Amino acid sequence: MLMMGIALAVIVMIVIVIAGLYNSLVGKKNQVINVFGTVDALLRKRYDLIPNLVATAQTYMQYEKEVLSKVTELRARAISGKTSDDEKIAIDREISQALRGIMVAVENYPDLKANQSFLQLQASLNEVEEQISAARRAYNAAVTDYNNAVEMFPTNLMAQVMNYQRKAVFEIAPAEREPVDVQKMFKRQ
Amino acid sequence: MPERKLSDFAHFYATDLVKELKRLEVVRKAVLGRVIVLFVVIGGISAVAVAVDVVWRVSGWFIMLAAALCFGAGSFIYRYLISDYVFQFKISVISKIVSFLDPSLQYEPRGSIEQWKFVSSRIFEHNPDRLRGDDHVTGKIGATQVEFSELHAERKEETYSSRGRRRRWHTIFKGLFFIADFNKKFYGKTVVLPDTAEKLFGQAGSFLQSLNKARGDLIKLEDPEFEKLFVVYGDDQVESRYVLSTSLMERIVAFRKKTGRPVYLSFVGSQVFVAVPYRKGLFEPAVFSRLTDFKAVEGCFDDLQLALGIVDDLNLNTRIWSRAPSETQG
Repeated sequence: MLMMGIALAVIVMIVIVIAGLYNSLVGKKNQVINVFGTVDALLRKRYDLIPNLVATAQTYMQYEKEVLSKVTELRARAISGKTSDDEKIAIDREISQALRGIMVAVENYPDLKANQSFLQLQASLNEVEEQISAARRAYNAAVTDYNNAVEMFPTNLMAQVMNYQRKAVFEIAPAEREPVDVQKMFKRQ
Repeated sequence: MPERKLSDFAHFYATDLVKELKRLEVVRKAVLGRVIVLFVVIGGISAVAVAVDVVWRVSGWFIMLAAALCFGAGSFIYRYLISDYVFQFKISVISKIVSFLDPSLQYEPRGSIEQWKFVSSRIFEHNPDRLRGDDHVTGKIGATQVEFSELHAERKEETYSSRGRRRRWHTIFKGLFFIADFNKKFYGKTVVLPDTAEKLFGQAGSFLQSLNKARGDLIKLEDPEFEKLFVVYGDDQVESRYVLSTSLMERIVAFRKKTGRPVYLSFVGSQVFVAVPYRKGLFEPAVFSRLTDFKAVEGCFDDLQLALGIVDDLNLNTRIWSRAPSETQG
């Protein structure tokens, strides 16, 4: 009787531990998905700003037609709905770079710089960029938490059973680390 | 705000302040005379009490009661004796230093930050039962509306025992409390507290911190130096990072080092709250040493400079996000 009681207690303990490990892993995975959702929503918010930005800038920026149409085209690709998560990240990188280029080029167009609606767009864009960067950092923190759980004992044993793999963090593209080369970006006529 | 260095202040001291300080030095000497009389009287009473104890061997609590009474009455009378002198110092010296630092600021020696603002900062978990403060400064620095004052927040603890009710006051916070408009718009709260658990227990401390759910989610940030000094709780993982950008974290670390004290911050309702604890009373004149010494006012200048410098230290005047200068109140 006593032996059975002990055996039962041990089984209950094991079940509790397994459930705990399982739940903590699922929680961490869902946190990653959740934060990626936020990143995605913010990227979309930025895409929504692009048509207005291009429309306003076009009237003033005679020499920048090429980069403006490139941004429009990238946006169309991003919101087409056919992109995978990895592609989204890649497109985001290109758009970030192009937008930064536009913002630097604005310095050459005093009329545009004084345009009220452009200034508002610029502020909104700064805002979204800042939010995106915060969301990326939150994503990286969630992924680090998840990766730690996947690799550290004892959750790693459970992760193997559940076939959880390491996830990649957002990396800053090499181009983003370098200062923007305006001359190269806009092939001036 | 014009940049003011210590050398500028030394010049201002020599040309402007010294006259006032000389006048107040006369007042101080008179006050000091009365304070010395007070000390002598209290010393006399204490001596009598000890003598009574020695001669008649009364019980121990008689001495305790006498000591408590002497101390209570003594500190009350002391505060009464110096109150007028302190007020004169604030009116004629501190207000001059404030307008020297920025003429557009208003200074109210007897005003203070209201209780609801202190509570809304959510920095401290207990609501104060008593909040006293003085030296209220308000105004605008660049695009940023600011206010600060000295605050002393206390909570009451009542215990009941066979000997009746006992009331004790515990200090929640004493020091400099600063509020400013933040340059970004946000909806939730983010609280930045000095890190004690992680310093003591390392990784386990971080685990303990995550259990403190009343504060909100634990936000683990990527700046190792910042993480070593602070622990952050917030309502929203993304929004807290939006508020605490990488550059703001660096700035907070630098500010913490500059003050050399624990620093509490919170970001609520598009405002930033900063609490810096001090043991000493702020912006008070010397009673027992010469007032005309430069050192006597240098401390006040440093403390004011520290408070007003927060705007620059945290880069609050940079308005490139949603919060344009026109949007701020004031």
